[in-house]
Amino acid sequence: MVMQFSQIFIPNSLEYLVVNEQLTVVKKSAKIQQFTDDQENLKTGDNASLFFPELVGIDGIVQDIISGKREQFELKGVTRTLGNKKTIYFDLSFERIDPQHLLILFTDVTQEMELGQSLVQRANEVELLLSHLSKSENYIKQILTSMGDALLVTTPSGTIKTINQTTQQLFKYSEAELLEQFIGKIIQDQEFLFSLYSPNIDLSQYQQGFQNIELSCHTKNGESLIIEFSYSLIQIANSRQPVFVYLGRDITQKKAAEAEMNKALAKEKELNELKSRFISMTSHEFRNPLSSISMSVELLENFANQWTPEKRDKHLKRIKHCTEHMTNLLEDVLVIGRAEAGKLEFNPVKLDLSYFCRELVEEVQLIAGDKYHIKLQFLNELQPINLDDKLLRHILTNLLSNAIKYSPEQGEIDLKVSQEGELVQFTVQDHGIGIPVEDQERLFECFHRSKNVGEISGTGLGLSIVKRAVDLHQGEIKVSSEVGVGTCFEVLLPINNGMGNG
Amino acid sequence: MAVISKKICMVGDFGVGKTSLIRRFVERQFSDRYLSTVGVKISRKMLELQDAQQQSQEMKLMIWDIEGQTKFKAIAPSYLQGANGVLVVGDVTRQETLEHLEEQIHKFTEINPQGAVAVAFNKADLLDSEEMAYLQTHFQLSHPALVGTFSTSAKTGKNVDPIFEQLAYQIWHH
Repeated sequence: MVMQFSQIFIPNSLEYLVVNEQLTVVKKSAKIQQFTDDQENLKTGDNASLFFPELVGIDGIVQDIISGKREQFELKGVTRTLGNKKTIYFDLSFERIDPQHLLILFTDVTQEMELGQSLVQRANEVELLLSHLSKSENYIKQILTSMGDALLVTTPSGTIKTINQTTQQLFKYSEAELLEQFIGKIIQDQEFLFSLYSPNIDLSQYQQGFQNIELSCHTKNGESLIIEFSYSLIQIANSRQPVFVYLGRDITQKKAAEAEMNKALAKEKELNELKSRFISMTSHEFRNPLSSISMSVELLENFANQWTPEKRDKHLKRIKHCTEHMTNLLEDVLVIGRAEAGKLEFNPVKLDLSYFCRELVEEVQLIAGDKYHIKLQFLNELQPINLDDKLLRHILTNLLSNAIKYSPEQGEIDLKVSQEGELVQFTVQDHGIGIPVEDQERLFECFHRSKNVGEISGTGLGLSIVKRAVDLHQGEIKVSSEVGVGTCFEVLLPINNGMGNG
Repeated sequence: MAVISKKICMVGDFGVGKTSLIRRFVERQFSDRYLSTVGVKISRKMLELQDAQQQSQEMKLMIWDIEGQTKFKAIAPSYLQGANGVLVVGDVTRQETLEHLEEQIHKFTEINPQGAVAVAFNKADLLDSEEMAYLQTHFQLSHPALVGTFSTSAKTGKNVDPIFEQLAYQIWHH
């Protein structure tokens, strides 16, 4: 049986409205006015939605409840600001009375809602603050993580307190391995560490910071790095001690590149000097024989008919000698050129060394004439050995020629050959002008000639050729000399180099 | 010409500026002070709408300022029932509030499938134009009921009237 709304007893303590499907007020409680918007005077027969904006749009819900499709509907915590600016909160509860009527109950919940508001306010403020803090922290963390420079924060005594990702990657330590450690674990520069972390140091001088200090550092696996640091002392909070903040950039490669560049510049400078010396040497070395040739040719042209055969022969021999001299000079230049270009090859062959030496000494002796005497000695029995005969010829010819050139007439030159184990040793000893100590260091440089050579002509290429030929054998050359006493060159060559064990 | 009354809801996380947007739109005022809304408060605003055919309509907008969503409290569906439109609000300085926009739109349209939706990227005055452009690209929303996405500022008033008016216009012509 459906109850009629007139039959329902509603306690006086509750405020209510009874409305029909169109929200027309059929009945109302005495004090319902307190909940209306703008506290307008609500009368029976008025449309409730004009006084209660909460009812706008809920026509469908009202119909559903009246028709029984829906049991009830509630709106909780509706806020109403009254004319005196006072805010009240109330709940609305919609219930069906009969097929035409709906009961809307109003319950004042101001006290609960005010308490709830204050709790929500506090909770939301804290949440906003936390969100803000976490965002700031995240923002800073992201920057520190993504920055390409290493960041370190230490106490005034150098204990590492904070590092970033780049620091870990650069020094190959994990965070746990670096935190709470002395910064000397990565910075090697003792002078720097001492200046900054000595007891009783005046910290105020570091407040303005230092820029671009290059410090040598090392990684966990011992690799050396050069890091360009900027650092300063920062007071983060009054209650806490200040901290050193370091920002470091790895400049190891940059430094290596700089060193390479300096080396290349030095090399270029050296090459320029070499070129100058070459021009000066060639102009001098070629000019003299060319002048002699030119002069002899001219004399022969004009006076050959009047001269005796001996005199003609003398000039022809001079031309021949000058031509040979220039040919040898050119040969030396070509050998050095090939060596510089890496085209001088090492081709060892089986060699009868005693025969080779005797032949070579004979040739040199022939050129030197009877004013010099080359004494060849084999200190022990020689086995057939593997050497590059062309390179060995360069070595011995140049050493013997020099010995002759810088010896006084009637000078004696010793060539001693010995074989010991896997090495063959050649010693060329003269009693000539000797080489000053300061020139001995640069003896094998191209075009370098000792200060005491005086008028003795030479290219400054011979010993460079010797050195390169010895190097190609993977051998060794030593010199001992005393000015005015003489010079001794010792050449040690491995005898089976490049031929395998067979 | 009869006045029509329409209900729209303001939905979004707590503290995104729903109440401030209403205050700017209805009372033309703004305050920096944060006062959290509990329950729901309804404000009214009369609008005079005009369409391209010069037809006009007076509309009384009932704007439901609904308590913001928190981790612990979801939006009560009863508030949304019977609404003709929703203004979903996010705070451009709090990314998580923008991440919730889609879910909040979905919640509204589930209850009101015919309702119109507008989205406010609020507090736009706190970001520069480059950051705003990035956000709008990053949080591109698409929904059939979406009227538009507006970068708004209750503080400066930027796009406040347009977003409510566009929503009202869409409701009128729906």
